[in-house]
Amino acid sequence: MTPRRRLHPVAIMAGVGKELKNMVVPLLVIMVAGSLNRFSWRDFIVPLAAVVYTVVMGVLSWLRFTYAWDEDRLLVEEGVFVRKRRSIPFERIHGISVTEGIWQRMAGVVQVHVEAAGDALGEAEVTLRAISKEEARCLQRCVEQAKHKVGAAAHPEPSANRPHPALFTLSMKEVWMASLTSGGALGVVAALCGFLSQLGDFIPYESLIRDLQSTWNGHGRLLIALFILSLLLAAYGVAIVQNMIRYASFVVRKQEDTIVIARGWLERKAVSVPVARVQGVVIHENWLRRLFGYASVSLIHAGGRLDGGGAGDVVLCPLVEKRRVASIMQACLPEYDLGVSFSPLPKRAKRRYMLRPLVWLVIPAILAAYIERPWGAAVLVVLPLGAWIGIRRFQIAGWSLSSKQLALRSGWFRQTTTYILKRHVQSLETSATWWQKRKRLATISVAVMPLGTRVRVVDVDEADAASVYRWLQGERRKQT
Amino acid sequence: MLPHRGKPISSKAVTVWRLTGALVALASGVAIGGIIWLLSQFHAPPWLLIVLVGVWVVQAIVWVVWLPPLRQRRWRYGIREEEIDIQRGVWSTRRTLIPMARVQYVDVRQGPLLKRYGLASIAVFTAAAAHEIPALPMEEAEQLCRLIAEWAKVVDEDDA
Repeated sequence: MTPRRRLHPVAIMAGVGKELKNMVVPLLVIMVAGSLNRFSWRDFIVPLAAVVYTVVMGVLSWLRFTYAWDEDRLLVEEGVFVRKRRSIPFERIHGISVTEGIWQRMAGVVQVHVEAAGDALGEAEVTLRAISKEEARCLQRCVEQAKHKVGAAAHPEPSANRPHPALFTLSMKEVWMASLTSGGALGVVAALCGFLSQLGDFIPYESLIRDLQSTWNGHGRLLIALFILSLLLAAYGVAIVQNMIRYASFVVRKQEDTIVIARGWLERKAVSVPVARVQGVVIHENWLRRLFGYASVSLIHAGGRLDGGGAGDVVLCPLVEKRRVASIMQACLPEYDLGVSFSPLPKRAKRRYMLRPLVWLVIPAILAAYIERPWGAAVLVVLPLGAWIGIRRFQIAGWSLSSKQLALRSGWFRQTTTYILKRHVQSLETSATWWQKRKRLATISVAVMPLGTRVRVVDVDEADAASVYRWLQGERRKQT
Repeated sequence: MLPHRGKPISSKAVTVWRLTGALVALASGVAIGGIIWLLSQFHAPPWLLIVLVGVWVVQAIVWVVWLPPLRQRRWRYGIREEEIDIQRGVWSTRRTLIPMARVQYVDVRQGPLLKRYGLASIAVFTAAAAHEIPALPMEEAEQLCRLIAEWAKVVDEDDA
């Protein structure tokens, strides 16, 4: 048992800094709204009180936060008014991430975030905001040893001293490419294109009508359009910079049974995911990356927000050439077979795929065309476009079944392929609406950990859906 | 689709669902009544009020008269040593398969309405989702709950 210890005092700065950062905008709003007429010292009271409260609470919670560990569990005691003691057994820990933020770097310490198996209430995670690097390393070693004990001593010789080769890295150019073509940025580009086309529409419109009022109207629209355009560009720029900071010096290593992903520039982060906790592999290809033969790879992870993104999402390769994916996965997670071939959907599903986007588009498009006639008729172009997207989605959608693994593929703008091992399938659902039944089609939907994660493909052949169902049904009989 | 060999849920479910539907209709009736009263204060055209009443009547008929028997007829559940197999849904027929090894825990649930008719529901939890089998006779629900817990444990030991 290590002695009960407090965090390094820099934890106060890191914690308070984070709280204050979240408070800045609301406080500014309160101040500006309150001082619309005349600015006086009174307008400072509320913000000042909030800041003082945050700082005092920061210090108090630091004083009350202690941690310790022995061979098989981590003990944390915290809470200013309500005391909370938690004990987390090492063998239940799903993953660890070690972050060196700006504050932590200044003091030469690290932040450790621990995710454990537990309920969905977020009770099963602990953040040690500032502990020394040796302590962090020691904690990680304890967790690994506890795992090995449980794993029936399958790995007798601990070879922790051997350096592990990097399985995947990102060059600076690739970081730049990844940021430029990332999902968020892409949305901005699409919106930009939409806007530019709108501008093109509206210039002849202005020259046609010489009426003073409508010209003024036109200028107003132009200004608004330019304003939104510059906002979008700024957002795009921010997204690029954020991504570059996030993915700089990206390295993936495998240490025995743990995948370690290190990344980040100002804030260094190392995410450790035990292979046994990986619930699936997801390959995303948005249309721009697909064009250049690139993809990104994520892991579905049983725990919470280890990687700072959505629950259970850990990015393994932000950007990678498609042909390299199979070999990287072979090294990281040899159990997954990414070379499988996909079965397409039956031909009779094509029309449903074509009609599906149209159902949502037809009425708004016709309304818009009618209201903004005659130029608004151009809006009707979206209808064949929608149908075309439907056909592309139909061509992409597919499924693949092997004895141990199920793979589902769907999407168009962002094509998503998910590989799931049979033992990670929590439940399987096949559903068919009356329309689907008429065409002998069905939807397959698979639930995996963490809570609420579902993967689905729509309009699979009914018989194929039944075969997937039976594949999971026959599980026990085949095993024994 | 595969034929389902499971058992149906209690036929009293129809009554319970009708009652729930009636309660919902009552609540929405109060809400819609309030809106109609407000609108009439502002001299809204009468056809609008008629449309609102019509919406309420249709909704009440759907939830009280039409849906409950259809739902009950579609429900099937099969609980076997290695899996739980559920079929449900009126518009969209859904078949759900939960391998017994993935079951984490089971609950028996009983609201006041279910209790009145001697019924109970079973909720089965996996690490990814919750699944409910509604309106089973109470003894059967309790027995199934014990059975599932037992089988889930056995399968767990096998896996380890």
